[in-house]
Amino acid sequence: MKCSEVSSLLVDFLYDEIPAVERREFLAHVEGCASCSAEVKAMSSTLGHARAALRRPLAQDPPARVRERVLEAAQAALAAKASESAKPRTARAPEPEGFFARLWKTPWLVPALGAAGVATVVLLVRVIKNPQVIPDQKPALTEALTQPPAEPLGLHQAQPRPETESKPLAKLAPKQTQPKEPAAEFDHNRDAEPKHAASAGKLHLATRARDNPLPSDRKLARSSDERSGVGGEAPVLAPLGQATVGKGGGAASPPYRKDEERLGAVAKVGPGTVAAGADSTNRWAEPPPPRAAAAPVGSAAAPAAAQPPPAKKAKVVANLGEIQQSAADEGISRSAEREKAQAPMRPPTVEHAAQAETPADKKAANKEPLSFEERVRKAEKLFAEKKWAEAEAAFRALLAQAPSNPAAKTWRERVAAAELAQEQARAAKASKAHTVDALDGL
Amino acid sequence: MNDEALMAAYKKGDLAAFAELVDRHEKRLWNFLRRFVRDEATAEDLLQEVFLRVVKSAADWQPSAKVSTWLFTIARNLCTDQARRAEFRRAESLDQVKAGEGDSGLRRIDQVAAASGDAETEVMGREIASLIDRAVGELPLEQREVFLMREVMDMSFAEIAAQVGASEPTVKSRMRYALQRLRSKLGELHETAGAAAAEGTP
Repeated sequence: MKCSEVSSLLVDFLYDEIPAVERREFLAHVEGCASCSAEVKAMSSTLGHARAALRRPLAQDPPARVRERVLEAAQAALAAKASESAKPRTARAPEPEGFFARLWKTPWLVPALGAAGVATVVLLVRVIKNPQVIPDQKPALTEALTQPPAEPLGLHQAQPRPETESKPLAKLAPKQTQPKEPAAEFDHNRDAEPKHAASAGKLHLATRARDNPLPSDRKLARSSDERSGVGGEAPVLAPLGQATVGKGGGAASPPYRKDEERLGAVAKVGPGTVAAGADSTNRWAEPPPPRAAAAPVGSAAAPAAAQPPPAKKAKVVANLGEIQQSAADEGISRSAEREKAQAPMRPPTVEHAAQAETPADKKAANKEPLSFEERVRKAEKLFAEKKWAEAEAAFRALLAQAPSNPAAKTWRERVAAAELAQEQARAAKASKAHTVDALDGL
Repeated sequence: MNDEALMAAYKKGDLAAFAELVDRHEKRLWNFLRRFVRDEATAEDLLQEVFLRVVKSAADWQPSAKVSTWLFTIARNLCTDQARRAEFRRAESLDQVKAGEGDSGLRRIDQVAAASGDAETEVMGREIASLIDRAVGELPLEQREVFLMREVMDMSFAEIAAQVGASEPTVKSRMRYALQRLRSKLGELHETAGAAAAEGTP
């Protein structure tokens, strides 16, 4: 055995936990090794000193108060345990209930649920009977009829006119000093602008100039008459007028090009046909002037272009009466010729129409020109808001007052459309009521 | 009636059985705690805490668990926590021990040596035992708990190994290191006492 092994077995030797065989080897080595022998003796002596010290009584015994406190605590624990064991037999506090348990026991829960169910049923029945209560839920036919106009029809005379209209006017237009326009793109139309200006009365232009509620871009489209009336007096408006006339020359600005295209489409296909309706479907969605631009022309093509002509819309238009029927019968070439023939003789504006009436009416129109326009706007507004009955009455009143107005045809169309819309609404309501009754019967 | 029977009786409401348990283990636990923490007030608090924890956890005690082991486990855990909390005060304690080894210590060793040559059995005085206590208190925590478990609580090395979570050879190694430290301390005292005795002898 080596000295290192003796050192590792020293504790086992001191506590007498070394196996017998190893013990003999251990002692044999220690007897022959002085250093190991001294180490074993020293460690044995140290352990003896320590044991003697640890086994001697301590200077102080454990304090008696510790025993007292501990026994008091033990007794209290027993008492608490006894009281806890007695509690379940007598009265144990109920466990706190959850939210849903308490809700279920609430007395008003059943009435509240019942009321909510009744309300739901009522709402569903109402929706089934009248789907229009749901936003964006409109019958297609009604929507086609009630597409709101982008602009009051009574103001159509303010829209730029197509070439067929402007050229005859240009012949009568006196030469005027060319206005100073900032836009170079209108330069090639300068010659046409004063010609067209001659067709518009200064009275009308003055009225338009002080009453111009439309947005700026709309002003551009409407001001063909205005700038012609102002002429050199208002150079700022001159470019607009030039643009209006210039569309006839094929170099018009985009809004006027739209008008031209529309008119061209109407001339090629003809109003009231499915093809024309398909072509003008997009235009129907377009807000502004195209439809209005055709109206003052007064031809049969104008109302057709102003109508919603998609396939189903064309069908609706066909039901509108003699106006649509006559428009469908007319060919576009014929209408174009008639446009050319009638355009110089037709009063292009409401004011012109008013001037063509009796002197008394003319005075009245001069005195209150705005009231008529406001009435037209109001009628169109009612029509746009789908107040069919009121719109019908308003248009009828306008027709009664100014039956020869260029927009009279459109007004008649509005009246017919309003009547048809009311009729169809009543029919739809009746059919849905019948459906609901049938469902209720099931 | 063994410890487990007493504990079972206490669980059934026998307070006298618990008192008997306290009487059986109080002195040994006190001996262990007192030497481990080397402070009477702290040892008193720890002793009380050991029995209070037994009272508190009596309902969870299972008869298969040995009561003495349970008691000592509680005591050891309390001592370990306390020793860690007071670790920063160890240096101060060591200084106090060194101060205590002044003239009086030398005289006591001298008295021991003069009274008898058998220091292990006959002549060890009360104050020398106090010095041993201090030397034990200066042992590192791992060596101290092994030494006290073996010498005070009479636990086997296997039990100590299970208690401290180490292997048995590791526990024996810690015991050997503890004895070597104690031997070193006692050797210094013997050498000092021998020198003093030589100077005092004409």
